[in-house]
Amino acid sequence: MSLLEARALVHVYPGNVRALDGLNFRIERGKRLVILGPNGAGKTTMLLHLNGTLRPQSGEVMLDGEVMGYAAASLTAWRRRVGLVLQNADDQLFAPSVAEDVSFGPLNLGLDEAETRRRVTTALAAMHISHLAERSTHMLSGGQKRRVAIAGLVAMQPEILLLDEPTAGLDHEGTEDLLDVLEGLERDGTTLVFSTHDVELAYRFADEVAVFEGGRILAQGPIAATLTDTELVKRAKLGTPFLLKLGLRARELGILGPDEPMPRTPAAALRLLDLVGVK
Amino acid sequence: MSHIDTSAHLNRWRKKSLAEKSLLAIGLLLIAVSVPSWHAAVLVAAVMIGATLFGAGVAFSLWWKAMTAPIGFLFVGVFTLIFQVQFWHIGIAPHGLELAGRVGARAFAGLTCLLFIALTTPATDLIGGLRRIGVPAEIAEMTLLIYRFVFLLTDTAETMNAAQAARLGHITYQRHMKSLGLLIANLMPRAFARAQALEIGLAARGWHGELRVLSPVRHASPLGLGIILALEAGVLLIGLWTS
Repeated sequence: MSLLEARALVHVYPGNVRALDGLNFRIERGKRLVILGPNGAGKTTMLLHLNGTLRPQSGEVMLDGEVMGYAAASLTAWRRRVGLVLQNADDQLFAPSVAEDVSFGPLNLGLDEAETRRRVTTALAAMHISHLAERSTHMLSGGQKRRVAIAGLVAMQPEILLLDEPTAGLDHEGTEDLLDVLEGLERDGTTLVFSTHDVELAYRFADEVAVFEGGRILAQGPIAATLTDTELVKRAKLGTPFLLKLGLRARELGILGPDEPMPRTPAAALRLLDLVGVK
Repeated sequence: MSHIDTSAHLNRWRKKSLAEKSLLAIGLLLIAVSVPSWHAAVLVAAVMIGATLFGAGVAFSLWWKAMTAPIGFLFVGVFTLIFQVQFWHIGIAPHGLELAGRVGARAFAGLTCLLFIALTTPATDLIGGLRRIGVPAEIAEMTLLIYRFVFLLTDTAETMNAAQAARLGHITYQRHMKSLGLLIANLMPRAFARAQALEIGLAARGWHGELRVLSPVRHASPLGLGIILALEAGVLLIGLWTS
């Protein structure tokens, strides 16, 4: 059974904009999932449905096989388990200092002060921003703000963490650091789901991909197999990741055996080159 | 605005408790306005300036920058006290100079107290203090949100302003005024969109209508409070003795 499942979600915005048009989608525990789709396609709308912020006009969302309701009590239970980090950190940070902002979620869960303090400390440590605890949120850089925003949800210890374009606007190093930190969260048992339009990033990071276009998930499956479908990639206005192209070509040329793993990182691709050199 | 905020966060006394800082500033302020002689006010101003510049280590240039505007008002206000208008004459008022001196000294002392707090204490601590002395949560929360969003709003306005300038929106006075109008008109819907987005962000973290956060606790030291009280007693005695 999937940890979270969305069935036939429909959401039409005023002006007859069909943001979700019968969307089916599932999240499996412990599997890194990337929602890949062009900009402005409705990925954010989709994420807002997955934690109950938006209510579909038809269709349903299920957590552990249980259909979720939209009354205050069920929303609270829902959000305790499914955390959502918005793309723009400034939409999320409201408290004047970092530690205070991160304490907001745990307090809303009804935790006492001592436990909240513990959660804040561990969340800041997990995001590698313990040194920023007393800083003013408006004095942080964009990358730091994003980490604080994520820490605010990490402190609530959700089972699923949804991140909307978490690397948008980050430089190379910022992206690498963020991915590292996210891997750490995964080791602690959080299931990671993030949306992006960046196929290269998705290919590097994800186990599974859901291709979003025209208000639906066109396909969901293991990332290499799914993105090899050129027809699908074209329909979703995406490109084939360069490393995947390279891996496929290497297989064609016999540099990689059919059972050998495809290169997923630039370092692995470089090793492939060394292999050619040896041959 | 942001200079004051930066100083509040980066001065040496940032982590001193609000109780100590407010006891010092409010205590001296009360002495300055209640002791009849102006000597007390001058003494209070000297102590407060010393505490701000040498204690908390606020740069003089910053202190002076924050001081210039209120001093301007103070000067205009005090200057008019010296004169009196009778029919068609303008003359020096009886005791005018003395009155102006006393009012000026007291107002200046008050200013130094206010600036001491503003330049050494982040708004966060002040808002936390408001909560502790029993200001209703709604008012404290509004203050907190306004404080947070003033910076976002000015950032957005600055960016928009730069974008207008880049497209020659400020080339003549008329264009400048028109651009300014457009900027203000654009800020409004943006502010609403921001508020809506924030609501979604807060809801994702389980918000039920109350913005509760854990503020760091800074305990006042008995020694510090004792020193402040002794200092104030000293200033009070000197003030009373000279009047």
